[in-house]
Amino acid sequence: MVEIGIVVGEARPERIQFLAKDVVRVGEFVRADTVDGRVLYLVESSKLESKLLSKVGDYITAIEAREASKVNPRDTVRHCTARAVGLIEEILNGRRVYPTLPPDPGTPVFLAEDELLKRIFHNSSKEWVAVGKLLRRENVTVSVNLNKVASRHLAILAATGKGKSNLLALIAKRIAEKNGTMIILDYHAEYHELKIEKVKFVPPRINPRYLDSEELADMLDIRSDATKQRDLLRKVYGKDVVKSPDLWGTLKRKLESYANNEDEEFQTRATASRLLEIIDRGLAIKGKIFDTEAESPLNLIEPNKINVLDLSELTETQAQIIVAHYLTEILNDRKNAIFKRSSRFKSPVIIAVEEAHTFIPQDRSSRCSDVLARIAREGRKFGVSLILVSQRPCKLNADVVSQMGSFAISGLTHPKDQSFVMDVTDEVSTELGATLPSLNTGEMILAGQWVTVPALVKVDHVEEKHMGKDLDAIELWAEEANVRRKGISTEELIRL
Amino acid sequence: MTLKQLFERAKLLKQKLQEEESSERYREWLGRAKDVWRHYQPKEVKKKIAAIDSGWNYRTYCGFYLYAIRAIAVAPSSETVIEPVVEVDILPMEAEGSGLSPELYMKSIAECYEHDLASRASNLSDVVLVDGSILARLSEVRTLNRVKLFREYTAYVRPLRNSENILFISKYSQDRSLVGGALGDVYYINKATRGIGYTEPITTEKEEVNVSVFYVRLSENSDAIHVEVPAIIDSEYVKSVIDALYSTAVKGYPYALMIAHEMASVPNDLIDMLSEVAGLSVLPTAREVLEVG
Repeated sequence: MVEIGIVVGEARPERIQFLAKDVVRVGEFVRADTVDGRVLYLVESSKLESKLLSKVGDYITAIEAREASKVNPRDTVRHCTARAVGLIEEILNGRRVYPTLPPDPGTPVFLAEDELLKRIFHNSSKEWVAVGKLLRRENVTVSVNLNKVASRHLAILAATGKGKSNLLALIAKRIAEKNGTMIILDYHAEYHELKIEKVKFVPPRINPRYLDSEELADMLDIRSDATKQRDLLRKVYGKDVVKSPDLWGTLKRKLESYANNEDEEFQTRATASRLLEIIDRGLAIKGKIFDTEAESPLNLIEPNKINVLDLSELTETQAQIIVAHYLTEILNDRKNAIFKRSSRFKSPVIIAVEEAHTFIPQDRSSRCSDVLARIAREGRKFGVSLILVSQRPCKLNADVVSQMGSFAISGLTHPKDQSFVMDVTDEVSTELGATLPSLNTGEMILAGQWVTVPALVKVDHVEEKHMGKDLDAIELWAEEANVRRKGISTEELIRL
Repeated sequence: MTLKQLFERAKLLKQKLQEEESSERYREWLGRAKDVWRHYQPKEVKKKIAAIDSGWNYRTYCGFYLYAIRAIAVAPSSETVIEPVVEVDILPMEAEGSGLSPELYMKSIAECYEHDLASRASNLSDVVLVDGSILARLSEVRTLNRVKLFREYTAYVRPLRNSENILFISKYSQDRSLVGGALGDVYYINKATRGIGYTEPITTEKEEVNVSVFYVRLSENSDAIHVEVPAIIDSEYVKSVIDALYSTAVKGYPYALMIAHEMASVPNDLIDMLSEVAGLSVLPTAREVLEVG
């Protein structure tokens, strides 16, 4: 038992202040006794102040004050605030019960013992999986509850380079170990080298018969302001085309009938010709996305596997359309499963949405925002859950994010992002939020239902995930130059 | 209406000060301050230092006042050198029928404690610093004649006599005896000089106590401080004082005295708490009776 401080100032049931005799880092766990019982607290801020140096106003006085402060141990004050995370006895029984009374002023504050933290954070039950170590206790393994991810959603909100995709890869690895079904919507081709077991790389495919004319126009890269082209496409893309065994041939023939008809206005003929060019170009570039024979996109996604859907070659709108179709199908399939009808996925499906702000933006609706919002609201009933991944949380639809039951947060520097996070989860306070920018890569705040209590965690590094790192431009340039040099003939080399 | 007049007076004062600074006699006073100043390059000498200070506060009630005094002797490390003295009590406003104000009464009691602590600390420390002026204290001591306090007060001063290692330090001295200007000596010294140094000690006698007076500046570009020693000392002694104090001075003021001041003070919230503990907080204070509603 190491006494590290004394409760001072105004103590409340949910938050205490204490003066520490030594260094106490943010993220550390401490305990203190209350009338309700022994309470575990998470240190959220740690301030160090010299009373003397805080009063000086010029450099020379600061030098003098520094020397004077050195000889006076009372001059240095270590002031900490800590938030109650629950009564220890209850936490050990798997419940989060908060104290109703604060500790008395003057109550000693103790460092929580490693053994206690191990009992709290490590759980070997089948629904729990290890994801890292406590940031301030490297010997304490932290487990998270995958059942909660599969039912109550998760948001991974962190700045670029702070380990979002590493955590997602780790979760994917753990889900694969549990034979779970997961779909990663990979907008930036970050996971195409994921080398975990049971991974399946799925090329995006869509049957144009399921698209309306506006969606088809978007998929063919027809500009949104090209109203004449879109109007003509709407006119020709009727049931006869959709039901035709040769969809593209029928569509093109109908357009040709406009383009070659001397009775049509010049503008209409020109528009039809342009549409034909666009369709040919679209099929040449993105032809493999369209599969007129595909019954359902679900056939490409395999249950009990980690399915990586590569959306990197699509525009934002195209990716949204594909995602909307896939997710609608998945949700319907899971409803069928729940209602004992024929279905492909007999067990819950977790959908990870990388660059989530592209698919559920805050300020407007996207082609897939409705279905994502529906899954966020109702997915729990049908065994479909979301993992939203974003580096700009404030650009996410707040209503959708507020449905997230669990959070992994790191490195957010923008004040708007910080305040957004604090708005959507009451487990990240202003004090804890202030530490977000100072977290290093892989260091995250895990909060919500998937953890026993909120904690600062050093997430395990996933060796099987290679992408997501910055390119080594110097090395790549050198390699390329080397290859070129080798290709130069002896005569050319002499001339150089 | 009165505000306008006050500001007009302030403007006039500024004008008067500007005129004063351009006068011949002002230049003379500056010249005299420069003449008496001795520059000195200090050498750091480690000495055992103790600082003495006291604090007091009171709350007036109908028919009496509650007061609290504490006096302490501390090292620069904040450790107490001698057990502190504390006093909490009530007195009728006419303390012992003297008509002495609570302020003067408490100040005198607190100074008695300071002198006692200084005297005892001088046996344990190389240098003992006391916040204040012994000469000013001795000048006022006759007012205590009205109460029995006079004898007690002088009894505490007596042991200080010829104590070379006890220094009374004033940051805002009003003494005019050295330069003889319109304002205090320290004003002209600070205008005329900026380096580390001192003035030669001058000895004077008050209430049968020899007091040597000098000024020192402990760090460059800081204000000089006024020092009194209840003994006859020379300039070598003054240099040794600078050597002992300059390395731990902050803005030219001995750090130990800053700590002593902070630790001895009796702020309003503390006297209020003492009032509560003494069961007096239910009584209306003198200030409260002025509040309407």
